[in-house]
Amino acid sequence: MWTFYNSNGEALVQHAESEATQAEMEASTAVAKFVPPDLVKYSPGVAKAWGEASADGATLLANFNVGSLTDNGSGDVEFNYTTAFSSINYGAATYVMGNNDAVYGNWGYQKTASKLRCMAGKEGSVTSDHQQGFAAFGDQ
Amino acid sequence: MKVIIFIRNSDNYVKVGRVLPRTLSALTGSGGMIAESNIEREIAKHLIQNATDEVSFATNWSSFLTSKKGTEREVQSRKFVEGMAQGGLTEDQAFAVMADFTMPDDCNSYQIVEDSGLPTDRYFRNAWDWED
Repeated sequence: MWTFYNSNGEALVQHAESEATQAEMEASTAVAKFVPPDLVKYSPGVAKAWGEASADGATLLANFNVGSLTDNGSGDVEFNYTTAFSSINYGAATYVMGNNDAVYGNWGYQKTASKLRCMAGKEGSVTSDHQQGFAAFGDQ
Repeated sequence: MKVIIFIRNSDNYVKVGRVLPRTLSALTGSGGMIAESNIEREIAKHLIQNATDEVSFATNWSSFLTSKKGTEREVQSRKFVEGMAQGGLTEDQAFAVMADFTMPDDCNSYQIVEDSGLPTDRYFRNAWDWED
């Protein structure tokens, strides 16, 4: 049992000493449970995967939950997740860096539960190599 | 550093796969990237390819996994997930597991090569192809 005190030493609330489950984290319920660091990732508001690839698709400059990278061609990169999503319907925000050739953003992306493919381009076609990144939210 | 060259057999076009050092380290070391208790469910998630799979998984992921048992994708996913959980692979085995698991849909084969052998000029990147 955890007892929380204010600065005057008065007991404010007592919580049972039990850990939240993945399902409780995803549902944002069971407020009397505690959340250890390895469960924070299951909260709906936390990105389940994110990463940024170098322009040549050769290097992941930073990432979370990405196990490998595939350079599909010029401006076309695929991020492969280590821990997959439990659905193909999850949110992925993607971005392209650099606008010297008027790249408007990601021309398109394709995703499965296991991977996300990002293509930098404009007006219906992939343009050229650009640093690209993403952040994905959803249920795992 | 080794890379995976995925080859599209129709025209020998290549895609280049790079395994993160952390992933390679888990596969060839003691794993630890996926909890042992989550192995089966994690394999099932990697088999979700469309909306029908998604419904089956949500209804009963264990039955969904059983229905996919023995398929090529299930075998590949199992090797990857078990490797990430338990490790114990040689480097060659680890690259083979990653090559099979991340093979792009339009490619049919792969080669493992040193990245020093790749062209440094990407101007004609979309013209890269594989020659034995």
